[in-house]
Amino acid sequence: MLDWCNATTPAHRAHLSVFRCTDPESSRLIEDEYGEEREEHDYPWEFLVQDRINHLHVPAHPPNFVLMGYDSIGLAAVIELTVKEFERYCFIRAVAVAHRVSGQGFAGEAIALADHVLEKYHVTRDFTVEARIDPLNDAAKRAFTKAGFEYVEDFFEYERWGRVVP
Amino acid sequence: MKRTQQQEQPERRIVDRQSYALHAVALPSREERARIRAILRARAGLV
Repeated sequence: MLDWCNATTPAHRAHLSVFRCTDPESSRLIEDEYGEEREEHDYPWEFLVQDRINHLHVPAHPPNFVLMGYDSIGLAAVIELTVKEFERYCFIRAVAVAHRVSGQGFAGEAIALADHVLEKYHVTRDFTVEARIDPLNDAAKRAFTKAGFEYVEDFFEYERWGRVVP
Repeated sequence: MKRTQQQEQPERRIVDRQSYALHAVALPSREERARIRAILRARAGLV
């Protein structure tokens, strides 16, 4: 289990700015047919979420939340979400697990925090949680499936996944 | 979100920041939120 907290302090901001959830060796610049430089990555969803987390504004103001999970070494996982209290709805914008601790189940731990945040709003039943997943991101699909989510529909280059709690 | 060692390496892909911003992390509209909620509730037999 990680030690979770809200991102509120300049120290948190500093930890987020250097958070690494992908292998930098997997990234490179290529030149397209028009001579323009473009970024390419073996796992672009990791690169994109890492870039987002590196530039998150801290503190986040409710109904937006940035929750950070620490282990004995440092920042191990991050989840960013938004709550719509009166719609009994939560949108998970980003979930990321540090490269050094991947495959240890921390994504599931992060996803489960959505319920706890909704609980702060006294929403404990009849609510919906949504997230977007890259179709090639099998690790995310496994983590969200394990957390009770299901595929809803395609959404441009992404997939919509959701979970409803009666 | 992390890959595992068992996961096969997907084909290389361009990093599309615009699509990510618009389609992965942008909060859906109130109508879209209601629609997704209705789909999930219907699937769960809650309506």
